[in-house]
Amino acid sequence: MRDRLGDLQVFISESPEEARPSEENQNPENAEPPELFMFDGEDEMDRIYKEAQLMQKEMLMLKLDVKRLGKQNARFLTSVRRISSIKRDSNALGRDIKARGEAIYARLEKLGKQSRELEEEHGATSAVARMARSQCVYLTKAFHEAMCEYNTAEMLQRENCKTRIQRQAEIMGKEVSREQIEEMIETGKCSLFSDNLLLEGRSARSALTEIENRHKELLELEGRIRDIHELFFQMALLVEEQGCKLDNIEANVGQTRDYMAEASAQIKKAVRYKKNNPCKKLLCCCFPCCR
Amino acid sequence: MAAVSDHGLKKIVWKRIKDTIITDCRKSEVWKILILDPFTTKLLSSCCKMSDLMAEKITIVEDLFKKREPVLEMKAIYFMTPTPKCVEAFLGDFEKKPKYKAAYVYFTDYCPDDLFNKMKSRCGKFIRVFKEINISFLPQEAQVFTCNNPEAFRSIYSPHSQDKMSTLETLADQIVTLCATLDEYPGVRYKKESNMENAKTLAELVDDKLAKHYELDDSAKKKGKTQAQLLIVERGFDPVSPILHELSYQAMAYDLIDIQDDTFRYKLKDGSEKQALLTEDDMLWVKLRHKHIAEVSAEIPKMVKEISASKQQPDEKITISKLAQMMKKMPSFRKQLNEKTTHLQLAEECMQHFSNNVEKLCKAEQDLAVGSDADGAKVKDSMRTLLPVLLHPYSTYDKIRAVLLYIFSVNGTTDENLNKLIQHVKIEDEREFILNWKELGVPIITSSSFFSRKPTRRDRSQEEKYNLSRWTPVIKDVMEDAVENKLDTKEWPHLSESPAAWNGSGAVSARQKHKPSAQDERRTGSRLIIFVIGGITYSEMRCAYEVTQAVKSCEVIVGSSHILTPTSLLDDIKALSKTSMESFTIEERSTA
Repeated sequence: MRDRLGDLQVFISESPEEARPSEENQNPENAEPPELFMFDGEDEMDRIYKEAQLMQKEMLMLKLDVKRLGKQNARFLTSVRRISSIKRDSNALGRDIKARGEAIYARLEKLGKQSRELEEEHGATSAVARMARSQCVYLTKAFHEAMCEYNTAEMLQRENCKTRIQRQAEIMGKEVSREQIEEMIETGKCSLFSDNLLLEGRSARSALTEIENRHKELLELEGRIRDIHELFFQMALLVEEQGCKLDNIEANVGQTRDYMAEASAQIKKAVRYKKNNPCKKLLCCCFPCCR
Repeated sequence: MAAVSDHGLKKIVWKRIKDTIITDCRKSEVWKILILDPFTTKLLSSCCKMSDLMAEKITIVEDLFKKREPVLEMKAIYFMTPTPKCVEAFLGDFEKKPKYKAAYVYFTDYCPDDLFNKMKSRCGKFIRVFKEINISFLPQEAQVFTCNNPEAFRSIYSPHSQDKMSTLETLADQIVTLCATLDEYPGVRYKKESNMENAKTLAELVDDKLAKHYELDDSAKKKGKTQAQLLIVERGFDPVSPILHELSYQAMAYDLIDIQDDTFRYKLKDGSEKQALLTEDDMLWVKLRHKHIAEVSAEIPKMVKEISASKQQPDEKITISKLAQMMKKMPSFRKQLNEKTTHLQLAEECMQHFSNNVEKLCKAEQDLAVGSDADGAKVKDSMRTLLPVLLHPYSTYDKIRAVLLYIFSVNGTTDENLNKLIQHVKIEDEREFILNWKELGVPIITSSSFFSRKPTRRDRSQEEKYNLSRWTPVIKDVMEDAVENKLDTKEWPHLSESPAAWNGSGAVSARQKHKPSAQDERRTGSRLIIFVIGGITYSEMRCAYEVTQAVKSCEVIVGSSHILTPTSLLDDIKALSKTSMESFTIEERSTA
């Protein structure tokens, strides 16, 4: 790799005379108002970028919540005290995540709508429309990833709970298979031990309590997932709709089109030239009746 | 097999780009526009995605050669090849009315002085960054690169070509950027042939340019030779591999099915048209691509079962556990489903072609190529092996391939015999398909006393093989010999000195280690890079992976100007005799 900025700047400082003529060339065009192409969608893009930044921040918060939930879940598994308070916090976190997720989703929809409006206003291949669309796609993907992280955290907790139940059951001297545990969760009943009314020994009893707690935890976890699955599916569908074609760089470049300067600007120019036509000016003098 | 994305070429290229372009770009946290030319579009597309760019504050990508909308308050990053056309397009953006606030300029290779001066004098004040980052090859796969130049074949081998030297120079530049990107300063060797000099010429160019590069490079600062070897060889050294019907999945698919731009197009049973990109994003493709079609077919019933199982009945009770399981798999689930459907279709199409006619062809081809039949008995009369093929109504291309294999196996035949064969296949007006092979240095018409030493092949009788896949590309022998440091110095002369005791065993002298090499990093300990002039085949690409997997301490990277399929090669060979005046359109089937 070679950095040649130094050579570039040396040349410029060495030959200022060469630089000046190029500037002078621009001056004769001052006869017309300098036609600096104003970027049409400047304000709109600023708004979209700001919104995108805020949404990124929200998603970061969401991810932090998910991490916190993960820690809470782990704590539930390891500590035996104050289970109820830990459980409370887990559920509260779950609700927070859901609320935040729904808020972000609503903003995504709004952004999507804005992007479509920009497309209609400026054309699908205009710079501003493409910028807005790429922001949409990117944020959707990021949000989907955040939701996946949440799902992974809950799934992990689920597996850990099931393992715990299995182990506790073994302590009690009873072999429980994974499928039986699944069934327990489905039916919501701790039916396994209904036939074992007489439990001998303190260890067996504490094991049973432990299992009951885990079982309750699993049910609550399922509840959290049920709450949020709707949102999750919508997200997944959205991501799929957008597809991976939009992520492909070659496809993106291929979609661009030659930029046609706005017709109105050209028409204005044409009218001005027509008016300044010296022949026409002469004619006007000679024939004042003509416009 | 280790995850492809761990250490492949694409990852390395993307990292390079991140360390240069993206790092500069992130110094100011504003959104920027990225402007690419056709080559850099392909380059970036092969190693990253839009979302990767957006994560680095690049909002849109533009085409350098299209008229672009001015966006005055944004900075633009230009990533382009240092050609006059690109520079003119760049100047057009800033000379009269600047389209962007400022320009960050990155070239894929060294910029010639005249173009540099043009940019300085006409637009210098808009340029905030001007770097040459030396990446002018395409990372096709984890261990395969191309120079994106199918025209190089004609330029080098056509007797009417005027620009052979400049093509070789360009290829040399590109190979040097490959070495630079891999951070290697290899010892260069080439295959010595009695009748062809291209490998020697190219090797000398590369060696020279490598030395120059490491003089100029900012970061390298008088780099010494690294534990790497670069071998340069010409297509003519193994004319059999690109002509044979291969039965490994990737090679077979590209040979028998029309796959353009790595896109496989097919129709589902309900008539809807689908497209699938066969790249390393498709994990199933990476898993299957080098396997024999028999093994791939064995996977089909399993895939069918999984696909139909996924089409759940909607009224089936969705239990929470199933729901949770679905959510867990959802992100990758649909992708995997698509991949399975694609490969189901592709494998079935391959097998269809196979059972229709390829199967019968293969036996004759293998006998001719290997020189002995499946039981090990030497083929005494090649013509007897060839005749049944000629008598059967195969396609013309298939017959040409069989005839060529016959000619290669007997090291050239008599004019009389050749005429008879040509008549038989009915290609009297198209005999260039066969005759033009002489331009690659492969003997076609020889007298009966002509004796050409055939390369001694490695004994692979101990390896388990399918009867119809006994042929091993010659390049595999070369790779294995090179890794074991057994390459004959007379057949493969060194150019400048190679690092002492180069061997692929990964033993690196303590003095030459720049970084602590953990056990896993031994893979990057030594590299073998092979460049084939005239195109590389899928079977040869497969060999690179097989050898790397077997040896583990040495990574084998192969590349060429482009990738061949049998049909594209035959067409290219035929076209060698056309002068540029004739308006003959070559149906380009290569996928480089």
